Amino acid sequence: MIELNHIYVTYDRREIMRAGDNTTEPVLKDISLKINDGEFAFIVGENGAGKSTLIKLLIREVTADRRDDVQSSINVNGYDLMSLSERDVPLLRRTIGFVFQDYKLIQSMNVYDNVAFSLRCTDAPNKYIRKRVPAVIGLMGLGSKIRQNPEKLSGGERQRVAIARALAGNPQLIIADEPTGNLDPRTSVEIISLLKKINEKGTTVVIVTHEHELVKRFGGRLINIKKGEIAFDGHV
Amino acid sequence: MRLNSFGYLFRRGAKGIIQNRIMSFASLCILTVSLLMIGFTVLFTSNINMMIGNVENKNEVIVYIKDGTSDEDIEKLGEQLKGASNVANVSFYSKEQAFEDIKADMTNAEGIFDYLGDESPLPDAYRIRITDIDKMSSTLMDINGFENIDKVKAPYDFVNVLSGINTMVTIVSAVVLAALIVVSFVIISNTTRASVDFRKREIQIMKYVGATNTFIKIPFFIEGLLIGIIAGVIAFVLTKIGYDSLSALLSSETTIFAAMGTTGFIPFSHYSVYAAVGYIGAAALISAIGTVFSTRKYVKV
Repeated sequence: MIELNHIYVTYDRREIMRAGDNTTEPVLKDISLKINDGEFAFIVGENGAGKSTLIKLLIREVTADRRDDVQSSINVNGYDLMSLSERDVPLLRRTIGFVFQDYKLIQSMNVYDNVAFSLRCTDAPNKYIRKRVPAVIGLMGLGSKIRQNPEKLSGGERQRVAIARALAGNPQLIIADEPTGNLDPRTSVEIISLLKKINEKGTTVVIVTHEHELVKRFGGRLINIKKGEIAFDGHV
Repeated sequence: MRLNSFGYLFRRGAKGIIQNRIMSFASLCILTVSLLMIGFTVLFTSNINMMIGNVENKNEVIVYIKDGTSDEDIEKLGEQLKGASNVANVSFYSKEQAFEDIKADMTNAEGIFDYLGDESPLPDAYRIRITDIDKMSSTLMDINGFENIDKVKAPYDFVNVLSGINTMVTIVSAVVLAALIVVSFVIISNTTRASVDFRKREIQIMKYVGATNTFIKIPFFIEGLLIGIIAGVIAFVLTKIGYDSLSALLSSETTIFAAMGTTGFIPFSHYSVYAAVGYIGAAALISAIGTVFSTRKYVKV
């Protein structure tokens, strides 16, 4: 579950304070939002609206402002991000699977090793890795390409490897940041369908996109961010 | 951490050396040179100290008596020497005995002795053992005040020369070594930075999938450690070869070694365990510390 209350994010706060300049606008302004377990949600917005900052906030890559005038709080998968120590950030991230626009696959590793990499990084036992990795790769329909390197795969296949990697750790939440940004329309539909199927099995899925056609086609919850504020939050 | 994870990280660290081979090679070379500097300085000072010790242990001063001194005056001088402070033992060394000893030492120069005849051309002397070598200077001044002394031969100057060389080598080595250690740190730090750049994407993915700081940094630490261990092994082998070759080369110079109270260099086997542990330990430590510093700087998790 994701729950944000009165969240503001301002970049370079320290520098602004040092210069005595308080006029810089926060990137996110008074964001309050709740995404329940099992939901399927799209976050849309123009470039610079604050979508990426919101995602970075959820994985604790940026921190929210601490303000005197409001009581801010963020809770992601049971972790209180306002008080989360640096040491516990990896534990939060293990509950989230991340899918990137540019796939972020390691070219020198084959499909199996790319997916296994995420489990190895979290100190998973070998026995579990050997069982889990082929299962998720099979789920993505890439069983026949398990020993191939990413450079030999199409864009859609690469993104499916990235989804398999995100899914390998059995996360409570999958965040996909522009997952169809580099794909043709047909493949884009395939990828969102795949994420929808994952959601139907109980995993919360949040997709950041600027492709309104996909949102219309799949429906579900839509959160529209404009100039750092939530302009619309509802079902379409 | 699980054993299988450690094995995985170890393999990644070893792979990093190959991926980043130019910088790894630079680190390896600079570390090896630093270690060789340390090693040869230690071996040199150790040998010099052994020689100084040998000369000091003899603690022997030879007092040559003026030619033509009467037996009575010789005996009187002997009494004076026995009564002098810091003198442990006095023994008379006759010119006949000295001549016989030289003849025995120089067996291949019989022709010269035939020419010299039976009469010793050498002076009578007293051999004195000194109690405290640090007070040698004042003892010599006292002895030089006695009558019928031609000259006094003491190892004092020789010890001073050896000590001087030793001090100079130690100081020069310390300065060069300090510079080399700084250079080693810089090179290792840059090697790690290059390695971090090479694996930027992997590090980013590791962050997103929830790898801990330690997990991300361990391969770099292992990479540094392995470079250190390899440098230590290379330095050990080169030191052994170099030291043994030098020992063999100078082994024929028996008279030089004899003057220093020894028959040759201390054998390398005497040092081998200390050298192996010291080299590998020091190199591993320098590179591991260098890597820890640089990952702290360059791996922002």
